[in-house]
Amino acid sequence: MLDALQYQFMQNAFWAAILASISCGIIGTYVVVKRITFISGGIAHASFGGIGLGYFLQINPLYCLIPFSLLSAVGIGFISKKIKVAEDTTIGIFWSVGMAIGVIFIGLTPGYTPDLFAYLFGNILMVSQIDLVLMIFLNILIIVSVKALFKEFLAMTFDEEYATVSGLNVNAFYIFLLCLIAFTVVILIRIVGIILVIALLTIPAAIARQYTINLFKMMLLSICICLFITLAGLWLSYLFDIASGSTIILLAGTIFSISCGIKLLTKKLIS
Amino acid sequence: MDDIVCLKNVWVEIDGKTILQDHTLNIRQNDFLGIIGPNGGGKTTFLKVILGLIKPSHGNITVFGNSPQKSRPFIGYVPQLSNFDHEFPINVWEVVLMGRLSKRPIFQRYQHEDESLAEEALKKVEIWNLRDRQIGRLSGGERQRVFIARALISHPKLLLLDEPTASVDSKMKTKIYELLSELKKELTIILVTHDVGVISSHVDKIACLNCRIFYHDSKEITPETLEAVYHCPVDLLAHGIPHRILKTHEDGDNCSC
Repeated sequence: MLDALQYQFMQNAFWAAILASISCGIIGTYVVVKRITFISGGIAHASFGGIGLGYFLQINPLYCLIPFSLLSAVGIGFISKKIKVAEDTTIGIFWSVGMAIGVIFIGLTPGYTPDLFAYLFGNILMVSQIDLVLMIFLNILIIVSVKALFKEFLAMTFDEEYATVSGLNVNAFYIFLLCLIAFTVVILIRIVGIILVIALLTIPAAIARQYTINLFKMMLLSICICLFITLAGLWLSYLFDIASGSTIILLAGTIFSISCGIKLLTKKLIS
Repeated sequence: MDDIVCLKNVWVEIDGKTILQDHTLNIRQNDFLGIIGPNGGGKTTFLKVILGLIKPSHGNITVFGNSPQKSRPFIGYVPQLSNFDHEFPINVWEVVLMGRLSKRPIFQRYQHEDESLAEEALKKVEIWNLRDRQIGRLSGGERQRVFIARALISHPKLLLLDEPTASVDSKMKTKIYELLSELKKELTIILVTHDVGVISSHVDKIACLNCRIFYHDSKEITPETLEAVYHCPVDLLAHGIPHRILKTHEDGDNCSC
């Protein structure tokens, strides 16, 4: 592993793992406690439309990915909160419509579409310097937002009604949280791809939740867990020469199972 | 001004269904009003109208002489416990501090002043020792006290409680009512419950609510009123002061007015 780090793409992968873990730990915590895993899945899949558009316009798909994921975040939030369509219905619609747009654009793009597989299933080894700059920028945005609005987000995720009575514009905060999820999705797509994003958004935070009762500590812990999973997954995929994104997810799933087993055992031992 | 809450011909209709029908009443300062009625009778809606979370379809409501939204800083609200995710990673201390949310602008953290107020509120409801406990690891009665403390932290003038004795054992129930009796010296309390058993020996005034409201500015409930509210004959058993109500049958006539 260490001698592999002499390669530029390995160094980029290493930094990408760190940057992804930070956003993933912070935002994944909100996704888990607010129980909005499938909204995140909807945002991720809908943003496939952006990737298709990027290919069609012959520009870096990441540039179209950001507006598309933001649009789907605002769209899902707005339609379910304001027009009162059931949230799961809204998610289903955005999920499939976004993917359909992507498929049409890719079909319209002449010739071969390189790296398409990497956007669907992720390839941490293909992270470029530009990607890293973008990741740093989005991470700063996420950290600053969450630090500044920590008490508002805590109130909104725990008790929307009380937050409203306290004068908070709950819908605006909710949609803003969905936008932060959209940014995280953009970061994570490079690592594990559209289809596997929800795994990395939920598993580290779900493991962390088993060991702490404090939201802030849960964020720190899930950052650490996410970092371990992505770096160890990267190393394993290098060792066995298998797909990095899927290795990371399988490792995450395994650790989650072990953690659940430990919880179950300690519960039995105590009682 | 003596009247804290004034409702005048307030109707609430949600999706074409009448939830509250023609409510007119005034709630005075230092009243301790208990509102009883069957489940689904509109009790929670009634509180939400006072909080401004639900707008009346017709009629007029003022709280402290103003619109409900403007009066929210003076209202403490204790919602139904069943609304919460008890697994949420939050402890008692953080929940109580949340009561200061309206006093701190966006981007600002809770200040030292908020912390001393939280300490005071927790000591008042006698759960200071539980401050580091996760909210799910409390008994129903303890959890109820946490939410009362959260409502009290900003020194409200009006306290609204939604089913404060649901899922609470009878010993704890008495303690909660004792606490409320103590609090009523300083503020006006409106409490809704379907638990008719204990309420009448603790509150000053009783209203019955099942779509329509029956309120006589006193603590007397007549069998006729109860019959009108529960839509069925009701036996009133009086063992001294506490009343107990036995429903003889259900006739399923819900509030469609």
